[in-house]
Amino acid sequence: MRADAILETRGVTMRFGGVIALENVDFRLENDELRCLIGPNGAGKSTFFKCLTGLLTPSEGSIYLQGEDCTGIHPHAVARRGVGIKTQVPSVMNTLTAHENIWLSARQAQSSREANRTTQEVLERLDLEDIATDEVATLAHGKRQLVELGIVMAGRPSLVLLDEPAAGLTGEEVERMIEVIHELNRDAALVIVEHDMHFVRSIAQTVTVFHQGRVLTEAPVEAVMADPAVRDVYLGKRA
Amino acid sequence: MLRETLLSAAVGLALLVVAPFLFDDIYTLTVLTIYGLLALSLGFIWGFGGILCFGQAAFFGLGAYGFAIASINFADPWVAALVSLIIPALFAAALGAMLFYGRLSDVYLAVVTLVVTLILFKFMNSTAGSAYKIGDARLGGYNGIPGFDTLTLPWDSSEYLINEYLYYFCALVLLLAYLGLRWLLTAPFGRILIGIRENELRAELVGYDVRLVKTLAFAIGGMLAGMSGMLFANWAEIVTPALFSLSQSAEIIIWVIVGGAGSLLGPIVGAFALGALKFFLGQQTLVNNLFVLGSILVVTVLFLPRGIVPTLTRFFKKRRRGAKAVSQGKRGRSSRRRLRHAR
Amino acid sequence: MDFSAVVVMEILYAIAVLILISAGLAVIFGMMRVINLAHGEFLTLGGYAAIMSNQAGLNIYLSILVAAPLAAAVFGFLVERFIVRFLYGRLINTMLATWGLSLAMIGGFSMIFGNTTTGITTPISGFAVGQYQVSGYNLFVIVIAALVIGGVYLVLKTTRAGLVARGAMQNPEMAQAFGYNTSRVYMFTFIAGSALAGLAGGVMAPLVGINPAAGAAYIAKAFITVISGGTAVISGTLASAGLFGFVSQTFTFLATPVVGEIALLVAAVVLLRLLPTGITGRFLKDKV
Repeated sequence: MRADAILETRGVTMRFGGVIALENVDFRLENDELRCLIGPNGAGKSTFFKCLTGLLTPSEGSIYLQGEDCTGIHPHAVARRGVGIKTQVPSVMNTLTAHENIWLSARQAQSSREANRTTQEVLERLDLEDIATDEVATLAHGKRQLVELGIVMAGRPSLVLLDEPAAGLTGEEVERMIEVIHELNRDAALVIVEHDMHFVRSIAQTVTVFHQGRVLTEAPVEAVMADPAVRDVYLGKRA
Repeated sequence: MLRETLLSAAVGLALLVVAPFLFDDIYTLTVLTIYGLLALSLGFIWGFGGILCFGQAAFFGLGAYGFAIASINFADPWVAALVSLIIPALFAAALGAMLFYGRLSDVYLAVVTLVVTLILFKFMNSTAGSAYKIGDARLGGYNGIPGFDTLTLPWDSSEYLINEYLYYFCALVLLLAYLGLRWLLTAPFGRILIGIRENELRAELVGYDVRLVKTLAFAIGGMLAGMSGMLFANWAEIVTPALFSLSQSAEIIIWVIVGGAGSLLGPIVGAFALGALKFFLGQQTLVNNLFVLGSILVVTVLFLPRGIVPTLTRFFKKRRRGAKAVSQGKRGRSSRRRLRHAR
Repeated sequence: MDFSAVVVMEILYAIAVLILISAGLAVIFGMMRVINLAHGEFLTLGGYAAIMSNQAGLNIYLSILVAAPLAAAVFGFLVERFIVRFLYGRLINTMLATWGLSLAMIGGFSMIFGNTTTGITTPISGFAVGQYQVSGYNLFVIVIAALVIGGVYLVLKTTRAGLVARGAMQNPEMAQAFGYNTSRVYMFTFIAGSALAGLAGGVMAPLVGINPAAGAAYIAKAFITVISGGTAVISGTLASAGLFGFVSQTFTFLATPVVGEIALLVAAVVLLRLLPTGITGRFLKDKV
């Protein structure tokens, strides 16, 4: 028997009325892994992501975090099990400052004093000190994405789930995002939903390809790119 | 922060102490402070918790009825005062739990709170029969409950807390509630509450149980509204179902929105200003009171949706910031700021 | 036998009243996502219009069925142009503004008509079912409610105006791209909803008598019926009016009218707790 993975799903199925969005997904993520989920629109990646975060409860199947069955628990309970989550649209607390945003995340599991220290640390790591007291609403899109990663980081997660972190970023900002993701990966395993194959290639070792609600294949990124089946369903469409 | 709090405490205390000398109708002044507390209770949950309760009058009425009923049944009115805080707080907690654990959104929350208030209103109106009794207290239907013992001086139980005494007591309660909420908003609980108002999903995704935090905030708001109901019962010396009426709920919302929901001071100012206006309108018969209040609400929503106090503070802050930016223009920071905005 | 016929008729009547007083609100909420909290006062306005025009010598049926909706429609036009149109898309703000309007209207009515209750007599006499006396006007109310709901259905389903309205409400940009003026559509929808409210006020006037604050008795029930029904105008209103009418009338029979009203309110709270988006939000999604 293998040791408990940080994240494992067995037979996860999700139905909306008569539509099957996910069918029998088995997924396993090791403790320090960085995995990308790819696939064409409507392949089920986002639904799967929402199941992992607790925003959706799968119709069937189970989700395990470090070997513990966490199927159907509430998002805040998922977060309390050391899972950091970033949704697709930057989800920040708009009229609060960057510092306050990050502090609130840190404070969840830490004392106020500890949270102050963590916040300072995160601001430094992400190079956000000079905008720490600015209202997040006034920041550019790229900076808001970074603030949200700061929120994720401040919770000291052991597993991080990111939904399309590179969406809407400039080339320069994408480079920065890649650095931050590698930095997160030093302490945590990551699952990243991503469209942009260029971005995927520059961060991932292994990718999981979704197609029509199922896992089509799971392989190193180069192998996936060369796989004709993947080309057909996904890359073919884009090229 | 501490200095600011101490300063506002001192200013507030001074204002409330001086007020009776400026405005010699102590009876009206007392009810204005009671309205201030009621407005504060809604201003807290609406402005900082993002919870718009259309039935804050329910807790106000429960506090008042709770006091009247407990005062008839227990010898010591101070025990009754305690009861009158616990009942609305528990009721608000139960109602809040139902709303927030049931994930009802804005409009539905508004509907349910409104309906609950109506239920209480209709129920209280229909309790005229002698079968409707709690202990020795008859609920009295439309006529309400008169003739209960009001609060007495803590050091002399034969002396009732009336006139100046009652005013200073209400003023003290208002001041303490204001300072208490100010403190709460700087404490982690308050900051989490504000975070939830800003982005519920984000707060949930970093691990806060949004349902619990909102329920607690709602209960605090309910308790404060109940407290003002208790004071109102002492002031009016009678409680009637009108306390639960829709126009009572509307009035609370008008105070808060006119004063400004985004601050703690705004609702209090709104309650004092509009309460005083209502009092003056009550002395003439040319223009109907409701007509004026309703028009004020319409105009405020259309032209000043933030309310008076936040609009004024914003205006002054902007002017101050503008002046600062001019003086620092050559030193770089503000030009860097401008660059970032341009991008 | 006679008794059960009377009971069925009473239940039908309770449902019909709910439909009638909610139809205007439902059209406005369903089509525009605007809640008009002054709806009760629009009914009162219709009631006053019916009574005044009848006292001025107009035929009772013309007063109820023409004068009342007309007066409310004109007023609705003014309200839409001067208040509501600035607040589209801000549900809570429209609720607050129309609540203010509601209070202002109550105040206005007392200034104009005084704080007294006026009324007109029922134009239809009652008849006997066995040993029970039944009001003929109640039958009239049931018929009008059926006509209203049928009329709204026909307009929405079969006319071009209905189609444009439905389209504009679902996707304003799309409708605009096709050359329809959505602002006009919103305006006419609001006027139509107001006219329905006025009609209801006129029809109810002989039954209840009108005073400045009479609207408060309707708004809560109408509001609850509409919100619980959800955003589908016809099926939502029918479903929730049916449910609440049945509940309140049953409890009225078993206990007192007050218990009936309280039962209605409690049923609404329970329903919203179970179905947070209303009945049609859950079960009848694709219906009108």
